[in-house]
Amino acid sequence: MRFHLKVWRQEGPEAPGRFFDYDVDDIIPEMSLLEMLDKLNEELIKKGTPPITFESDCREGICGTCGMVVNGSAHGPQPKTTTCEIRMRHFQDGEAITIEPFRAAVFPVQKDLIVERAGLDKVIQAGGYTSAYTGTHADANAILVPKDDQEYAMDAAACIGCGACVAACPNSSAMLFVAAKIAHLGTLPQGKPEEASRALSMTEAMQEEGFGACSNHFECQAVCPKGIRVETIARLNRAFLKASLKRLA
Amino acid sequence: MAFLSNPIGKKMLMALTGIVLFLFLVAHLLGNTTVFGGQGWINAYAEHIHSAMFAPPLWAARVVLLACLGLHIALGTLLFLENTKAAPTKGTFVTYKEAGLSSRTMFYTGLLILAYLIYHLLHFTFHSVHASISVSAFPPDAQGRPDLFRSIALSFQRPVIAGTYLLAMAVVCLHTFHGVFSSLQTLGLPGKASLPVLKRAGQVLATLLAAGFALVPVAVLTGWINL
Repeated sequence: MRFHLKVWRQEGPEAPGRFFDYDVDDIIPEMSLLEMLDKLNEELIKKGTPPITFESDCREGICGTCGMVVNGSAHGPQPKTTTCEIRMRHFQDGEAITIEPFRAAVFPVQKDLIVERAGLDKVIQAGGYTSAYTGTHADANAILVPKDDQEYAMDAAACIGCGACVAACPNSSAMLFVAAKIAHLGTLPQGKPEEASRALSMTEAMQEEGFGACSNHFECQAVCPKGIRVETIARLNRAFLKASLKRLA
Repeated sequence: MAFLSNPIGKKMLMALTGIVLFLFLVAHLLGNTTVFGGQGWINAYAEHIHSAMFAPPLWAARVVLLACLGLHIALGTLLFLENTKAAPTKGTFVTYKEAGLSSRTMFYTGLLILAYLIYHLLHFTFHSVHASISVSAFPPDAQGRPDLFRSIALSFQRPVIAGTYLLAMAVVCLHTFHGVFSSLQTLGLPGKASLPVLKRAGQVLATLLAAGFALVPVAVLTGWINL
């Protein structure tokens, strides 16, 4: 397969960036998008051109490190799929593919396709944990959790913190990310006691870091590689309301 | 104050004031239906709500509505500016998957509705635009009531005025098409099963409301309502 690529290249955080055109050939349909970029980079290195800089780690869709905007979609055109899991067979032979970094004021471009996502870490540090001492391994089923709650918490815990929701949101809001953490931790007995303070501190940190507010566009759920749904945002809103009333009382 | 400095807090007050304004529109529409009863009905209705008996609740409603409108505009502008700052660019190649025209134009349709609201009040409440066809320009009807019916009929017989109102109702529809459901989502109402139902219900409600308002100028233009 052959493709015509338009890739965003930028020397550093302060440098101006622009698109560069590349033609790639002899691409095997089973290759992932990142492997296609690897192949292009080998050719660029041979020509003495600096390779395209991008992030990746597990390359199996569970770490949240990779992530770029492919043809206008965060992570690419395939629903519930991270960039590393996109296969070239998902594109038409000869197709033009536009690749850009995630865009948000809180995600400054570091180089080419790499953005700084520390803002999400700051939000986690504000309350995305349980501070209960859990001791050594408890017996399985020592704390009983209803099946529905287990499922719900597990679905929310699938969030890999990749930042695609922020990249896709017209307001660069991190509400789906925060909502996933609140739903994941707040549904389980160990995380329940801190649910109120968590809802307040994480949303306040979200604003402090410069993420926008939620306008219910729902672009986030359309690009989430882990299928986190916007109902979790409604749940976060309920948790926030409860916490605010509790603070008043 | 901590509530309002939080992004969700601001959104919740936006949602609540929006719901109050929407409920006012529903009440306004119910009042409008009296025009289909003819001159006697709407003139009686208008005289009733302006009578001394209704003055205290009318003024209370005006104060609440004005406060809601002010808050809705102030918070909406603040959120718009904050969100624009958070997302100065979304890249060169943007595709939308779930966000429709309605949700993406909320701030702008809001501004248009404000402009329309000022025009509408100057027209039917303060009689300072289209003064020659305003209520104060006509003699009272046979029962001695202000002849609102005549003013409505003569106003909407002018295609430019009717067209302006119809256009404004299209904008109101666009704004509430996203607004009704969005406010429920912000207040945390939807669950997994109810979310798509509430979303559709909000859209249907918004369309019906705007269509209901649009029916009056259309009825005059087509001669269904005439003097």
